[in-house]
Amino acid sequence: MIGRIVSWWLACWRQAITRDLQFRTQTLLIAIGALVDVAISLVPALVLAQTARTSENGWDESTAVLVVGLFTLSTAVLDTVIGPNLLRLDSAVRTGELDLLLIRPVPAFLALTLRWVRPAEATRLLVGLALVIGALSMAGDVPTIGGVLGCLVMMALGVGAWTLFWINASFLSFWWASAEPVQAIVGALREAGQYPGAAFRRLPMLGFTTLVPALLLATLPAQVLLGGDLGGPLLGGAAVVGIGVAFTAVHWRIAIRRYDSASS
Amino acid sequence: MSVVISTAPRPAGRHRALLATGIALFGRDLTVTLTNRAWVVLLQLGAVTPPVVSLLVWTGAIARGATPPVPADRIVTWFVLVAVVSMVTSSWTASFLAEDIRTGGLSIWLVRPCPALAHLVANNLAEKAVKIVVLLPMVVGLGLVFRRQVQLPTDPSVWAAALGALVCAGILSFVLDVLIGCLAFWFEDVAGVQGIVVLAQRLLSGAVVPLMLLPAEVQDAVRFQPFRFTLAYPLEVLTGSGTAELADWLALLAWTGASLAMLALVWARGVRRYEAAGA
Repeated sequence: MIGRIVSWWLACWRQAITRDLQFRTQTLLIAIGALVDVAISLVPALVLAQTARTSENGWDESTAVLVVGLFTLSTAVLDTVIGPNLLRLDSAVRTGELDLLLIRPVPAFLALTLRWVRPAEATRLLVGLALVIGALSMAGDVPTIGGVLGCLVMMALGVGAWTLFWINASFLSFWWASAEPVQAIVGALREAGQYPGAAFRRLPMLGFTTLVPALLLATLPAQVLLGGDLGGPLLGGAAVVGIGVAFTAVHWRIAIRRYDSASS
Repeated sequence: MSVVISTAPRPAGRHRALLATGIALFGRDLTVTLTNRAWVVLLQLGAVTPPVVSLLVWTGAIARGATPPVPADRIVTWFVLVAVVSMVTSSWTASFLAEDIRTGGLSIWLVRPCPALAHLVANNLAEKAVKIVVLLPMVVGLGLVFRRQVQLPTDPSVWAAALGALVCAGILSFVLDVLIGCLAFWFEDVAGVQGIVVLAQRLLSGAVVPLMLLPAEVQDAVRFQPFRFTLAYPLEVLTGSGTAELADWLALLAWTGASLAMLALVWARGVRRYEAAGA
């Protein structure tokens, strides 16, 4: 079964890359748009960092750039693999297109969340990496191997937690006939993840690490990379993912039971 | 298909007929929008979420000792009100107009006895009429949460000036959007241009970060560009932040007038070039 899923997903990637190569101008525009988007997201983080130098938990431009860099890496993965699927879920449920996914010889949940891939978005991985390296060299910090590994684990948990949150928000399409604007809300909430932890008070910090886990995408990984404590965030992140998986499994079963194919 | 523009003298009562047509189109779009109530509610939640996130971030940073270049009250007031101004000055016409030009759907509106753009104006106003009813309670709620820091002007003349700036901003934003849609008279796909303009607007209008928080040199550099007047300027007038001098008012009026003149020119040339699909 796993082999079949892997070969199916590789075929999805092959098809996506072929499509991107066919529509080269469109792919180039997407890639340029993604790069400009990263540049724009640097502006508020840098402006805030300038005013926060004097604060009790002060941070500077290099910390701000580091968080934006890690945020870019995490969101690049999300927007390459998960985003293209969840953005079309509303339409798929409304028009009955979901039928075509349900009848495929792969688990329907995987087909729903991984079928479409957008390789052009992955260009942001390079920009994110460049920002992280630039930020670390600007600060003169050399992270330890443990810090890098801890940061990667935290980012993996963050991407997982956000994926689950995004999936559950997108599943509102099963309950509402016009849930498309939910994507704008999810996108706006995700933006909270591009700021250092010192920008948040206790309650928003709690909310953005549990119910809406935006800070798991980059803020907490950045803290770990800079030598912060790993145990607490790791345990908390794993708990958020665990609860998210259980909740999503239940939500999926209820939602798919409610789905009455529009084409039937 | 060539379109002949009538030069016959306008019949008496034409203005009344136009008004009746406008009201009918407005009523139609109002009904359509009201049938999608949940969609409107979610859309407005989406509009209010970015300022809420910004408020949480900025108030959190300030509470921990950050020292922004302007008083914290002004920043909070800005973020509480930005969703309303952003909605009132928003426009979503370009892609629909471009689609109509590409597929020939525009023909229907060219042969009707009303301006071909009337339905787009009616759609814009009707949707906003519904959206404002949904959005205002959310913004009032947000204002109540941050009531200690929200500073609204008490002078009616400031409100009147802000309203004037808001109306001009709404017109400017709509006309710029229609101009982008009009590019479909010459190009098959305007999505790329639209995407670039949206990105520029996000940054230069103050939607991403209030312009008053940018370094002074940057503020000077972006002071007279059109996107500032589509969002930041009405807020600057209302909150008393940034610059709202005579030169800014003149620039706002100049941009609004110039964009309307440009639209008249582009539309006349575009319609002459228009070839309805299937003709």
